[in-house]
Amino acid sequence: MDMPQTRWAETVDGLDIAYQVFGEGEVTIVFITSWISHLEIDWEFPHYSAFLRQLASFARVVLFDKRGTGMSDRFSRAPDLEARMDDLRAVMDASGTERAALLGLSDGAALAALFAATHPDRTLAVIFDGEARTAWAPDYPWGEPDDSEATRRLQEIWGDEEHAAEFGRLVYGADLPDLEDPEFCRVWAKEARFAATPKSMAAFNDVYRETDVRDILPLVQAPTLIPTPSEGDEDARASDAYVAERIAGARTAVYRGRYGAAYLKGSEDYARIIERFLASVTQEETELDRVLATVLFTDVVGSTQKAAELGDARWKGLLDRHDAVSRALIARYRGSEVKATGDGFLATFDGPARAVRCAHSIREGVRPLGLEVRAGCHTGEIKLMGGDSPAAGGADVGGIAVHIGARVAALAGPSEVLVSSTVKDLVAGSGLVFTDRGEHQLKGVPGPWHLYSADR
Amino acid sequence: MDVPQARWAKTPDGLYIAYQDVGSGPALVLVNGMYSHIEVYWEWPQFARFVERLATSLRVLHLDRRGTGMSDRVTDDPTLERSLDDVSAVLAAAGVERAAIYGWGEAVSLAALFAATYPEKTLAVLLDGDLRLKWAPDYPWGTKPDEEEAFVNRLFEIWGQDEHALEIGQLTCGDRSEDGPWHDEAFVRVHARLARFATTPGGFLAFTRTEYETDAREVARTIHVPAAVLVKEGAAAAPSWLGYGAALDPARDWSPARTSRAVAEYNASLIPGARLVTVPGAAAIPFFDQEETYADAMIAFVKSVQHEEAALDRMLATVLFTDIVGSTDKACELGDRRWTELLERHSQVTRAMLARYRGIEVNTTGDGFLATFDGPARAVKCAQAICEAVRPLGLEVRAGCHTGEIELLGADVGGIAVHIGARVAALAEPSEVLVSSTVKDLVAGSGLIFEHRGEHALKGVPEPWHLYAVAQRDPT
Repeated sequence: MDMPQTRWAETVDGLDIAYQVFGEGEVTIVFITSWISHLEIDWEFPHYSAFLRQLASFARVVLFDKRGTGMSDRFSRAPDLEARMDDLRAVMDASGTERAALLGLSDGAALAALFAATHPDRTLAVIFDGEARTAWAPDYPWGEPDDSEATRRLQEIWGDEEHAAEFGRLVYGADLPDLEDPEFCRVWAKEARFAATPKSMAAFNDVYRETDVRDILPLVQAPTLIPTPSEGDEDARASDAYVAERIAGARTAVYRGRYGAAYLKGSEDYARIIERFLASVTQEETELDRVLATVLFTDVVGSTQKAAELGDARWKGLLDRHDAVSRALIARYRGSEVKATGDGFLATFDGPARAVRCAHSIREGVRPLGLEVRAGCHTGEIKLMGGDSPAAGGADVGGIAVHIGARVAALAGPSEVLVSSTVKDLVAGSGLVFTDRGEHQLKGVPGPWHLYSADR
Repeated sequence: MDVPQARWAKTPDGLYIAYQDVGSGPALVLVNGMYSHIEVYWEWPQFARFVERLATSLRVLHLDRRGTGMSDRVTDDPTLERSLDDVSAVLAAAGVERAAIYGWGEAVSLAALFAATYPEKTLAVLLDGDLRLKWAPDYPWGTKPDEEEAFVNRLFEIWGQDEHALEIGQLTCGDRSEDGPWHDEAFVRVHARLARFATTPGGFLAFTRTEYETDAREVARTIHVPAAVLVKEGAAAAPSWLGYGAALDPARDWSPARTSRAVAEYNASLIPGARLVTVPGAAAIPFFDQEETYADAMIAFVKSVQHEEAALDRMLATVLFTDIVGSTDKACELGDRRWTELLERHSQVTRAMLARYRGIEVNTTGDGFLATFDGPARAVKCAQAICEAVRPLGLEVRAGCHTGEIELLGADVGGIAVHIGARVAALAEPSEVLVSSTVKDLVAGSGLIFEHRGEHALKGVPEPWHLYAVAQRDPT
């Protein structure tokens, strides 16, 4: 994979934010990096680019430089979380990303949580790989102590390849084997030069230290993963546990490696737990699109014969009137028309008794037209395909319950409303009267089904 | 009853519409025919008795549409579309969201158009008389252009003149029967006065032109609110539009009683699901005879619709109840302040999970929640997620789910299914999600695994219920 094309998104306050989109998959991951970055230089990190390629193998990835760093507009003030949220939104809009999994690194994780709490509808999932608060506090003993000395030193050796190893240690805050790789350190120094100035870096550090979204955590609704390194230190584990306790239903997954795995050697396991998590979220999402509904199928009896009898023009006129009557009654009983099937309708209802009553009314309503319909109802979990809910209309529905409804309707006699035992059981007390029509095999549906004829 | 106080409602285009507001109960808008005058109408004792009877059970909003009576006169044609605003304005002024709309005579088309255009404001529509329909092969009762012309010319000549009151009445009602209203001298005089007070000959012409341009067939077919077409059992008179033709051309052989019925049936057949309501009496003007019985038939229809509406508010839902285990002990142990904080965290966590699984919070008791779901599997998964999510807080909850038809009571819910859900939850063990057999059957195929927990009698619920515990899900 070549390096992706860099594009720019405009924020509400008129800044240009550089972003890249690459990879393919059902899920879009928006990767929110920490501190400073440079979209194009960052691809020179050998392990990081491998990590990005691995993400791209199972997801569509959106990467961006926040305002003030890299290829995005620079300005004197380092952006707080709220301004960065605008950047994120602008990039999502510009890249056509309605909903995404947010992968937040370090204080990017805090931003991901804030965005998830603010825009639950646009957040598919959160991968929280960072801290809710940066700085030490009496009630947050795992925070980082004052680091102004380190910042001062970083300014002195900013982008200086001769001090690349020291630079790396200061940034990482600890020793790690990768720092022995001179190429890794060289790219790091180069990235620093391209991404920010010593002064703006210091400003980023100040903002970074002010990060605190602890109160936001309980408001996150999205499925959340907290990746935990097998070689993490005590403080990191404590801060992960702190977050896990506060984000409802957050899952923790241990990966082989160290904190900051995306940039380091051996990032495969880190990418793998992300992949596995997103797969489970996607699976859960498809289940969330299942709603309990009552499907109603209607069908004009003997339509072919009738059409031949009347001739095309008159038959079409009659069908139009049949459609108008059916539609009016579906609306009256608060059903949602899913589709017209030629000489019948498929509609869904959120009340089974209403579906049955609607069927009765359609039967009565088309009788003056000289038509008879057969109708069938079944209640079960259906899958919404496109659209938000059956009430939103327009969307198609699927699932075994829809098939059962169709089979039940096909077995109905002229002017009969046939229902499954599920419907009968659910409308107990509605005043509807049922006549046992015995057990039937429904084509393509396992097991015998008990059907009932419904009357007012 | 005294003549009710007139009030005025303002339309979006700045006209004032006169109306009376009398009685209490479900609202019913009473729209009169082509010309009306809300105060002169009360001079007809039959009308007074009719409205008084309606007002015993309904809140009657009686109005003059634009161009007539005590409402603003208009210089341009008072089209039906514009008159819709008159009805809306009166509803808004009276603070009524939904009303039954009753139209008789020429107002039938207006009432029908209102019902078709604003189903959300229309509880039901009641029509007496014929929709304005042009002559067609399957509708021989429609008027033809030459008949319309002759009718308009004659009525224009004799507008409001006492000495022609009888002819006016016969022309507009077509009723020339021996014992019809036109032999009641007082009635005839009021009728002529009504015409003079309602509008001018020019205003009348404008109305008539509008009516003749209307064909309400397509409108009628799109009505999907409950509709009743009222017809007098012994209709000695033909309905209004028919009457014009009949009055002018005695050669056309109308048999009023039969044609009234046929016209009403035809009208009813145009409106999906419309009910044909036969009422006793013979007079063409609905409230001229048997006015109280007639009012009762209207009341009965509105009430039956209201009853049906209540049933429509039932929807299938899965209810989820959660409850903190041992909350009293815990509260004592922690002290008020810390317990309140913990409860707050518990609520946040629960709400986050309800939102994720698309549940709707109905209410909370502080240490428990009631929510509804449109998918039973989601309710169960949400319950599991809540059980797990509150555990880091040092809390345990019990949870119960049941699926059934519930009643929407504003923001609250009711019905036996809600009670069953509460009883099921009460039987759950700490950190257990207990469900009724209904839920278990409905989520077949969802991958959820259940363990039978036996048959239980649920307090206040007839028949024992099989309950099932949801097996713990795989922590990965």
